Amino acid sequence: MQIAHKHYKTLGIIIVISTTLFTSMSCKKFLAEKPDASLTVPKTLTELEGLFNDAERMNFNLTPSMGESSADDYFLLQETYDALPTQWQQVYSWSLKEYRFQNDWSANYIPVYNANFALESLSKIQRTASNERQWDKVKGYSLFFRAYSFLNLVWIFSKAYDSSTASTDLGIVLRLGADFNQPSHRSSVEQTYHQIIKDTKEAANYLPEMSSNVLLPSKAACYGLLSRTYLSTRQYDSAYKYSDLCIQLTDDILDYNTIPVTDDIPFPRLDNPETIFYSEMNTFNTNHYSFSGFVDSTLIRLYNANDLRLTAFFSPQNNLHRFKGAYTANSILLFTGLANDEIFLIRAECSARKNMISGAMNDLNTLMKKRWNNDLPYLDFIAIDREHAITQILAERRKELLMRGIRWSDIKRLNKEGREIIPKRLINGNEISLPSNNSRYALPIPADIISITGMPQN
Amino acid sequence: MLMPLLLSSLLCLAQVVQDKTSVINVKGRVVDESGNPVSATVTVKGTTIATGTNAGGNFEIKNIDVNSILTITGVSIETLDFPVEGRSDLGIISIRPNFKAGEEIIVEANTGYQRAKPNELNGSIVVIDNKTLNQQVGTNILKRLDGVTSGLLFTNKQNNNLESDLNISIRGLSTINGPLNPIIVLDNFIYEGSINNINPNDIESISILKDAAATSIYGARGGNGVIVITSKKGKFNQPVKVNFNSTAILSEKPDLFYHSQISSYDYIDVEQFLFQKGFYNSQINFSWYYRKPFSPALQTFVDKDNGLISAEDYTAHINELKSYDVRNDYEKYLYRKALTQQYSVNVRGGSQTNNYSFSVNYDRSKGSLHEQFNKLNIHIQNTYQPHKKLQLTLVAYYTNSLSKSGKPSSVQLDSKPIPYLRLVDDEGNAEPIALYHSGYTDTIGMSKLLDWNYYPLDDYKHNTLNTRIEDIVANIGINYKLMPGMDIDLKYQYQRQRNEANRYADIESLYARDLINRFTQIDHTSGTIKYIVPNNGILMLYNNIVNAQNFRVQANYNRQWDQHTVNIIAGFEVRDIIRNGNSSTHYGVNKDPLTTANVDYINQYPTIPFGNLGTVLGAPTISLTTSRFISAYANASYIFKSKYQLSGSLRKDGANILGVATNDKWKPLWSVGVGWNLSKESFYQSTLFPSLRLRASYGYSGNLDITKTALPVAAYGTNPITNLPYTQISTLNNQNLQWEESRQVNIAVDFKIKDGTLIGTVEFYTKKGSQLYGLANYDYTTWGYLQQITKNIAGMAGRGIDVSLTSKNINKKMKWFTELLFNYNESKVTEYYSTDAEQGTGLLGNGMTITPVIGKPLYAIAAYRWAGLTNQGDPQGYLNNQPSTDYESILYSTYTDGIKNNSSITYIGSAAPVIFGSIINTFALGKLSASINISYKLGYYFKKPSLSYGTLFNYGIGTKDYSIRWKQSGDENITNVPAMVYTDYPQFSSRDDFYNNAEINVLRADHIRLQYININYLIRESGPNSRIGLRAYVNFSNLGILWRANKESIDPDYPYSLPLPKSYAIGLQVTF
Repeated sequence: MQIAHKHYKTLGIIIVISTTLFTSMSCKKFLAEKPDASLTVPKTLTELEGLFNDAERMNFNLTPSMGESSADDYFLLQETYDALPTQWQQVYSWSLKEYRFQNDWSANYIPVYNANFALESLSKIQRTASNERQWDKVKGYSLFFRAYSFLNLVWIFSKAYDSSTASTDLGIVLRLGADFNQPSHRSSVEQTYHQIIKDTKEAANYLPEMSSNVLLPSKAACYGLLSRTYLSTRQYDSAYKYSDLCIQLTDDILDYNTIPVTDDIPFPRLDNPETIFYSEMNTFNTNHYSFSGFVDSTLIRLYNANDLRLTAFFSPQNNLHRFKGAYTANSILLFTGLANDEIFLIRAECSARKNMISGAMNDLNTLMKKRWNNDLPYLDFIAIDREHAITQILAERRKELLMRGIRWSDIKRLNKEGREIIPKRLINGNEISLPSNNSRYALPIPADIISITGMPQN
Repeated sequence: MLMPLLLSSLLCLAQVVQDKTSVINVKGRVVDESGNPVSATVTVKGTTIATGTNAGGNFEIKNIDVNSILTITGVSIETLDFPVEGRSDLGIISIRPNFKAGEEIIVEANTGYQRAKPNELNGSIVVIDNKTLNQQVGTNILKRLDGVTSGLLFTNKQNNNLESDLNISIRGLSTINGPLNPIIVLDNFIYEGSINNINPNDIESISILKDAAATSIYGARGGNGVIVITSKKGKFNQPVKVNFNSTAILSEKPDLFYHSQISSYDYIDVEQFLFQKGFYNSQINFSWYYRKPFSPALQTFVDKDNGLISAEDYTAHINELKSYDVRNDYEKYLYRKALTQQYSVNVRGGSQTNNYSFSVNYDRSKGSLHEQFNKLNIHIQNTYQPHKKLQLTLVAYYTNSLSKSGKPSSVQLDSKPIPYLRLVDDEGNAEPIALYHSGYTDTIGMSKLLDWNYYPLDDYKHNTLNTRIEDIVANIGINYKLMPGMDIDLKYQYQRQRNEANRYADIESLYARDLINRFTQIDHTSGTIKYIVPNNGILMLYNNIVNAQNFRVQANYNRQWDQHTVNIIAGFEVRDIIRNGNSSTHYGVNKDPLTTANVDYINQYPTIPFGNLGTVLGAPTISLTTSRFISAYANASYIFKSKYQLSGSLRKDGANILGVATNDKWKPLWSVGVGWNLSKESFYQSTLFPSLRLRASYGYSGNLDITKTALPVAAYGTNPITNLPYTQISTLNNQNLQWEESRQVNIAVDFKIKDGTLIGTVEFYTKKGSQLYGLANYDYTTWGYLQQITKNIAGMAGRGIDVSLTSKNINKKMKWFTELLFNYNESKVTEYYSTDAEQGTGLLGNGMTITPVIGKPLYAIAAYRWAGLTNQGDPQGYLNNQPSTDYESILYSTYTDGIKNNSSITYIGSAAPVIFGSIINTFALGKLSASINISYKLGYYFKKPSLSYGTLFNYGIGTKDYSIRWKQSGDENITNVPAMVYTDYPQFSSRDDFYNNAEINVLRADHIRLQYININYLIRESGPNSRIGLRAYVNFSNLGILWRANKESIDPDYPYSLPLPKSYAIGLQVTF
């Protein structure tokens, strides 16, 4: 009996210990069961890849509209201005203070969430020989889309990159995880750009050279994004390098002689050979959209009569011009993606800055030949010196890339090197202007975000 | 000579023997009837030698006379003289409690994790003993708590959360959007089946855990309180005991005339008014298009207009219609008296190593609408003690019930409850109710369609819903005593409930004929028809299976030394609940021979009579949900000198519906309690309160909504541009999704007045709900798609008083005891994020749903201020403090100005009782005893049904107020019911809205109710003289209201539904 008793005791202890061990060890797995079988929690690679095929959230109605609304490529008639809601009037007069959901901030943090969610899920999926192609794609898409949104955001919500102050200038929120319980805080401009560059370079390692469709990124898109990013930080050598790498992969320029330039919708949408990566501007601020604003008249006067862009981009209306030249196949929606024309202009500008003038002018002429009415002889652009080359390239850059969500960043960047681009508005008969390098070039962050997070406002 | 020698040597021998064994050491164990150790004093009679039993009930006395008699005494036991008779091991000595008839025994509280005497606990636990449970009858165990449980309230509120269906609140609410049900525990584990499965005859007692100290051991799910149901068990060392019980309950027909309903006379008046106004013109002129049936009065108006009937016939017919009341037909042809019969046999017994309880119950109900319910329960419990350190318990509980649907409770024509409708004609034949206008169906149908009439008296025979519930709960428990004071419990429970429902609508049923007709495709040229829904019966099947598994390992430590008593439990628990469901519909079903036909669930077909395209519904569906919990818990108490008590508990839960971050975090729910037995202090001298105990507790418990998930939810589709499959997140993952927290502070006094003539408990508590589910603005930097998400963000606060007093007013041959329950509870919302919560527009409802408004009770009512009727009979409110009939502006002001500082609106008050309780008087004289329970609910409001002309015109629903409406100038001085106006009247629907939500329609809900009367007659007492005990009882319940604050004869518990009819029960109990 005594022995039996001892056995009972041992047995008891074993049961307790083994149960304890069992429960604590398999706890995580036990609690990982889905509570409702009909809930679809994206887990598989195909499901995760699907997050990036959701063009409604990842490509369309996406990139910031507030920058273009603040920029100088358009103007509003007084009566149009009068009819606008106060908030949009404030955007127009660079006096915006308080606004809430939905906005540029919310739209651009949607792809960031999908990217972060995919990256977190991906860390739980082993990369194997059988899944590596899809695994790499999901990884590359995630990093690219996140960087793409971050760049769009930093252009709007931070000051222009200045290497002397970038480490203290306020950047954006670098959300790198999908858990909303993690508090938001603003990084520095330096950190923001560092993250964008790091992510995009990494993405390039995972992505195929070209993508099956322009709604999804590719290696070429990564190089394009890097050249864009470096250009806005005025690191022209790097910008040159990546624009060059990009052009090595894709160099198609659409010949405007082959399209119906006089049509209301002259350009195709997703099968434009120039397009590397497709995105559209959101419609939360529509001052500059063609139903509201007119293209700046001084800008119109810069186009040569034989420049096909004059007819392809604008529809005249009583001596005023409405913009119709977006690569969206839509008379209103604006294209903000990456296209070869922009990359050629980046390489041209950087070549010029590196004092490689013939290379610069070659790139410019390659593009401009396709813009020129070929019924008439094309005269090559020539530059007498570095600055002459830069000036001509910047002028063509403005004429080529208007309403692409780029101008606001260009004004900020170029004013950093003293080009004194001063946007002006005529409101109620008074002219107001925005001095260069003014703090208002960093637009305010939504008031609800500031009040919830307690982050510093611009 | 030899004889004396022999005798003397024998004596001598005896002397020697006696000398040798005259003193012995004895030991024994004192236990109560359940085999539990009893704390007792053992004295050797006639000496001063005495000892006490230890925690295990064991005692040992050395060197006492072999023929001693031991006297065993104790606080709650009957004194027993136990002769030693030379034995040194006295074995187990079973002691009876010193329970005198009519006096209350202290029933142990069961927390589901441990059992304890309520007076040793610091938490707030109410124990309802078997006697009190049996004062009420019926098949639902929880209903027996109504009116006898301090702090527990049955409500009549509406809620669409499936886990709020019990309509029970314990100490008010603890949540806003979470589930409201307290958790139900059967013996040791949460019961996942239908509460109707549990047979009240199998239940010994119920413990209601109210404060955080009591419920925090239930962790994330205890926030709404816990109801622990303890089933009957066998006891060791008990002779076989058989208990037979039979009850019959008869319920009257419900009072169909309870509701204020517009009279037939007035209704026809309204129809005539509408007819003259042209309200029915489209229906009459375009009946081909409109296709709805005419009411009998409307048909008469039309016939007269078309010259089909004479003026005399017309008047006669209309007058005839005016004389009918459909409720008379309902009462005669639909309703009957309901009868419920309950039978129960229980056999219990136990030897020294084994005890058992076996019972069989059978319930049979025939409802007032001919619905039926039959239930069989079998309960088996067996406890076996193979070794003094090991105990095995096996329990199985089986339920099998079948319910069958009955007749309709009302009949509508064109969705209107027409008050003069007839179910039976003068000859006694059932009247058909047309679904569509016969002029139409006869034409379009080309006599190809099936009869499209409804036969309310017979249809139930052809369209029946049968629901069978089979439930098995089986558990095994192993208890092993590791060392003195320490034992280990292993428990495993398996539960499987299968709920199988089938609705069979045969070809005679309206359901089948209607569906077949709607989908019949008629070729109007050839006259051929094609059935999309096969021309036969329809069978709908629903299956739901719940599989729940529980495993628990628990260590118990119980030690007493000197003046210290320590009691510690600690354990682990794993729960897994899988719910499977499926449904399907079979068409073309013929039962004999059994056949079915295939149906196209995919394509759309034009339907008759409206021509809309429709698909046949009923494609099979399946569902699967899994809830998993892992919990660790501990509970400890320490008593010093049986005066000072300190206790605490800790519980940590992980669940698959909680966020990963929550599961990973060590954030236990905890509680502490202190108790002070003041009357045991030497300085305590009060003779008024010879027994006085103070206790206090503080702690947290949780509440969990198992429908919420911490996981991201996505939808799938195909991108129309790229044709690539996409994934779209629709609900954000919330890693921190956690249980709602309910903090409770409880301060209590337990006292007893001299001689125990008054025993009472007074408890004060405050509750604070935090981390409650609610929509909240969030930092959308994470996910810019939505501005608000469900988070643990809202808050509420509550406070209250629970008083329970038992007084022995007369305690002689004739006894009169009174038990008084008084409960006060107030709650308010403290944090919520919605415009409605800020503005309070939600309070303009009827108070039947939770409408969170900061600073207001969860159930509350506000109303438009009332400025009387104008001299045109228009209702007037206030706009900017001026009487106004601009209803739209008044309604709109709530959206612009909210309800605070708004002269149009007045806040009225709580829509749930603030004060409630009951008084139970028990009288006993000899073998006869009677209990009368009078309950009360005070301090709240309800909205009465009021007349809305829009509802009356469109849905045929009106109140009696119609007859006292404003009719002519001057009436505004005698009535508040607005004049009838036609739909073209300015602001017609806003006028209704304003009036229906005006303060004159909000009434005080305070009332006092005669809850039940229970009379017991002890025919024969079982005891030493007679083996058979016999008891008979009668019970009267739903006896109605004794007093109410409203003058309109409305029962505030049933403002919109019929009150439960009076019911009478008679029963017999036999024990042997």
